[in-house]
Amino acid sequence: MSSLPLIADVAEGGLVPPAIDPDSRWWWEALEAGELLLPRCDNCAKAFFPPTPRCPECGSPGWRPEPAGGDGELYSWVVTHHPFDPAFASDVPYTVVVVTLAEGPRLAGRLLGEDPGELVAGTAMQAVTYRVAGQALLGFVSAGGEQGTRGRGST
Amino acid sequence: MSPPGRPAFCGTTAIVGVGYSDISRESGRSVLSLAAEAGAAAIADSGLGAADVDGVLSFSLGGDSVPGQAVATTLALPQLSYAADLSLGGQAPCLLVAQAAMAVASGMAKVVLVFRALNGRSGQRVGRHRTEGPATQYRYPAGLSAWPQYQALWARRYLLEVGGGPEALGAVAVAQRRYAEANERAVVRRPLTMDAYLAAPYVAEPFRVPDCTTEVDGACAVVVTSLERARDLPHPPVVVAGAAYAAGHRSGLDIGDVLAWPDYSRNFTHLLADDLWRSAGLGPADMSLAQIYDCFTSTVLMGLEGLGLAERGQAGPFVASGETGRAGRLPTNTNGGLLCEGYLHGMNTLAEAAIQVRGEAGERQVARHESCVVTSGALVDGSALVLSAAP
Repeated sequence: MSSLPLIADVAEGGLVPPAIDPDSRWWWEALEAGELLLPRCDNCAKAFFPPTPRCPECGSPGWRPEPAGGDGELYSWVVTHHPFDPAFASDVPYTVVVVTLAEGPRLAGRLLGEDPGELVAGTAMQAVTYRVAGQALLGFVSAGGEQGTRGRGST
Repeated sequence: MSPPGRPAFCGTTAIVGVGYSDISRESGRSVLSLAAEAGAAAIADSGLGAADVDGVLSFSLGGDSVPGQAVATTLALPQLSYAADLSLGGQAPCLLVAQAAMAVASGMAKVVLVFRALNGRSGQRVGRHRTEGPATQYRYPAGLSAWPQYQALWARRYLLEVGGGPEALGAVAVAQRRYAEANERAVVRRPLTMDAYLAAPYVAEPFRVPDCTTEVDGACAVVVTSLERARDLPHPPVVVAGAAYAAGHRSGLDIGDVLAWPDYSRNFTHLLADDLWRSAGLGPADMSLAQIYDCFTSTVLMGLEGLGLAERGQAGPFVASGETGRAGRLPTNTNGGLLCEGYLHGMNTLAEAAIQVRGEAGERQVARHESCVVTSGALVDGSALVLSAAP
C-alpha cells in the first residue's frame, strides 16, 4: 500500500484533537500509519466521505476501506485572517482547502507551506500527512509545488 | 378544502403579534429576561392575553437559550397543548411559524408563540462556538470550525461559478446599510460605500468585516393564530400564505458538515422554491418585497437566485443596480438585515416581513407590501414563508 507524503517540517501549529469515534477509528488509525483510506460501498460502488455506518448514497450497510492516492482538484478554499478558534490564533493567517479527490469524495485540510495567492479552482492538489503535537492530520499541498518533494519522511 | 398542492394551513392562519426585546452587544440580563420581554411584547401586540396562548415553539443552538417551558412559566401562560424546542440554527424561524400554523390549522392549538432569545454577543457567540457532531473531527483539526469560514467556502465557489467579484458581495452590504440608516433598532448603522467595503479587512477571505452579521444579545417573538380570529384583532393580519422546508440529499452529519454537498454555489433555497410557490399559489413575480436570511452577504445572492427572484448569476448586478433598494423592484432586507440589525438567527428577518406586510414599518415602510417572501437558513437546509396581506 502506498503512503501519503509526510510533511515533517510543518511549522508548529495549534492542535484541536479530532473527536474520534467508533465509526472513524479505522480511518484515523490508517492516517496514523500514513495511509489515506476511503470507504467504498459494496452495493453501489461509490466511494464516500465522511465514513458512516451505511452508504450515504444508497443506504447499504456493506462497504470496505480502499486505499486512495490523495490526488485531487481544488474545489474551494478560505483564507482565515481572524482567530475564530483561539487554538489557532498563532497560525493566522492560514488557509483551509476543500479538495475533490480523484475517487470522488471531498476532504478538507490545511494548506501546508504555500501561499494561497497562486490557487485557482481546479488546481491539482495532493493530500499529505503532518503532525501537530504528535497527532497525525491530513493536509494538502499543490501537486506541482515545491512542497510536493520537500519533507518526505517515512512513517 | 384546499386546492391540490396547497397545505391546509396556508391561507388560513396568520401572524398577529410581533415583539422584540432590546437588542444590544451587552444586555446585562438573563436570556430568560430577554425572551420574556419579547414574548410579552408579541402577545400584547396581538391584542390577545397570556391566557389565550396555548402553544410555545422555540429554537436554540448549542444550548444558548432557555426552553419554551421557562418562557411559558415566566409569562404565566396557562396549560399548553402544543410545544417544541428545536436544536437548530437560522434554518428554524420560517419552519417554526409553519409548525405553529399547522398546529392551529389542525386544531391542536389556538394561539402559538414562537420566539428566539440569546445573549449572542456577551454570552455564547455563534461565530466562535464549537458544536458537537460526528463530522467535526474532519474539519476542526484543520482550523475549519467557524461559520464565516464555512460560508466563505461557498461564497468563493459561488463567485467563481457565476463570474462575480467582491463587488457582488459589497453591493449587498452597501444596499442593506442604507436601510439600516432608517432603523433605530439596528446595531450597525454607519453609512457604507463600496470603496469603504473594499478597503475593509478580511476575516475569512473572501469575506470582509461588512460581509458578516453582527452577534447581539436580544430576543424576537411572533404570535400565530387562525386568520378568522386574526380579523378581530388590532393589526392587519399577516397571512401565512405559503411555506416550505428543504434539507438537501447529503446534508451532512452535523450542522457545519458541508463536505458531501455537491454544489457550493446553490443553497437550499434552490431546492424548496417549487414547493414554496406551489404552497402559496404565487410566484416570484408576485412578491412585493423580500426578507432573505443574511448571516453573510453571499446568502442573499444565493437566496435571490434560488427562489427565482433573480436569474442565475444575476443577483449581484440586480442588487448593484438598486433593484433591492427602496425604489427598486424588490426591496430586500428592509431593516438592514441580520447584517445590520443583528443576529437573532433570522427570527428578526421574519418579524420585519410581518411588520412590512402590515404597513406598519414607519420610516422603513416600503410602498408596495402585499406579499413578502422570507427565508431562514444559509447552506444545506432551511425554510421559507410567503406572508401576505389578508384579502
